Amino acid sequence: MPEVRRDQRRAAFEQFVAGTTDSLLRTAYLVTGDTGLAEDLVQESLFRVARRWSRVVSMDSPEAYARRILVNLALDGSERRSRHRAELEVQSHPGGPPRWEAEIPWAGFSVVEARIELIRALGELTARQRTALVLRYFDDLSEAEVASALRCSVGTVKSTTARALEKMRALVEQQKSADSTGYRVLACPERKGERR
Amino acid sequence: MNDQLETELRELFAVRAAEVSADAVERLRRIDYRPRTSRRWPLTLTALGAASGTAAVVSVVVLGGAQEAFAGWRATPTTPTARETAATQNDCEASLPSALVQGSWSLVATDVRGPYAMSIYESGSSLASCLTGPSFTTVQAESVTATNGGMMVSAAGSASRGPPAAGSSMGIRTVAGGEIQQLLVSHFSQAGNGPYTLVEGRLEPTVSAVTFVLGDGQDVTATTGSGWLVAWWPGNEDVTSVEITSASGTTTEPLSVVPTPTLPPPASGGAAGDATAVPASGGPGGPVAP
Repeated sequence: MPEVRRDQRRAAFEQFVAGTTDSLLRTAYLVTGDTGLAEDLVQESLFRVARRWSRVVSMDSPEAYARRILVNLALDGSERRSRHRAELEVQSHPGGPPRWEAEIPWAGFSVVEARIELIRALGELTARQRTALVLRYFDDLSEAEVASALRCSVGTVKSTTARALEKMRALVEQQKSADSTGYRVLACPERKGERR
Repeated sequence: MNDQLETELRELFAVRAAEVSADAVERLRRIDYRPRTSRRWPLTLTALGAASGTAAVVSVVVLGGAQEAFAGWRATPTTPTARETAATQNDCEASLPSALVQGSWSLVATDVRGPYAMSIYESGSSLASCLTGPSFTTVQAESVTATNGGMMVSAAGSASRGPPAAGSSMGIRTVAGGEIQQLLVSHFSQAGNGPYTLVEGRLEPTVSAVTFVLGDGQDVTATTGSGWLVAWWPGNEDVTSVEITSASGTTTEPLSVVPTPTLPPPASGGAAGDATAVPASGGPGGPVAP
């Protein structure tokens, strides 16, 4: 009997991986803006879920649990990368770096056609703000679900989202007034090994 | 305006998300993640002893100040500079209670997470944990006594200056022959920063790393060394399992914390305040409210 239960758990986990990997990877990519990093995050998240699968399988939403791990890993890593970048920037830009360059992941997006001002504004947000927007407007999570993923209160989610939108709106308006083009075609930096 | 912005964001995210290649998804699906099953009985943080022990936790807030709740805390310990270590020790040692112990305190472990340092001191059967941050120093002193087959602990808290850091609950486990010989889980709350959870314990020398898995899925890596482990995190989230790495590999063991009932505070202890103690067996009762 224990063998049967183990097999069932294993099968349930494989089904879980098959059903959630795509969604987790897209979320990770939007949060980080980097395909390689996104893959690493999803892989690590699924490893962690696997380690606790006997408990996770009985949760209301194993996917929400996996997403929470993913988001925490992404934000934790983002903070470390920011510190590293800050150290480099102090060395190379004593007067402070251009803001656009300061956000490497979003600046590296292989944008074909998009509203440049919107992308730039996203790049100006903190990783946490950007993550909140991704969870709300890509994953279509409720505020309570975003709060669970970000491990904060619903009120904090509301204020984080509102501040992020407000900042984006201001930046977009600012850029629009400086450049009425609105839409642009950006160069596409090809990524090694990536099929488009 | 926000409605339009929200619509544009949805569209932009959808376009970006479509850039994720099917190959990448397939690669991730093909990985063998190997869900593990525990090879051991679950550890239970519970009360084992009853009759012969006394203990106290004294909370002394040396400096208090309003700030964001443990801003800058990290799940993985960081390495302090020598200057930070010295400053921390000065703050802690000036705050350690002397009434509870005979002899002097010895520093046995220091766990640093961003701007916060948790130092563990030992003196005979007493332990003290000292948490320092940018604007505060909080000392919790515990006198732990072994009993027949277990441990006993009670706690008391007070503040000399500023808002108190109140002890709320505590669990103990002694694992005879196991890698973790003793584990204390304590929930505290400090005005200005809110609740935090401390785990401290003794380790077999063969253990090289310990990671606690919290109920919300977060991993917190413990500081290990010299036969001790220390970890703490903001909030009251309980530990659900612990990953122990030793020469024989890494094992995962489920953990469950049995709530401990309240006993009267010890007659002595140098300060008034909350008290918790470990009963003869895990019984009903919730965490002690500060």
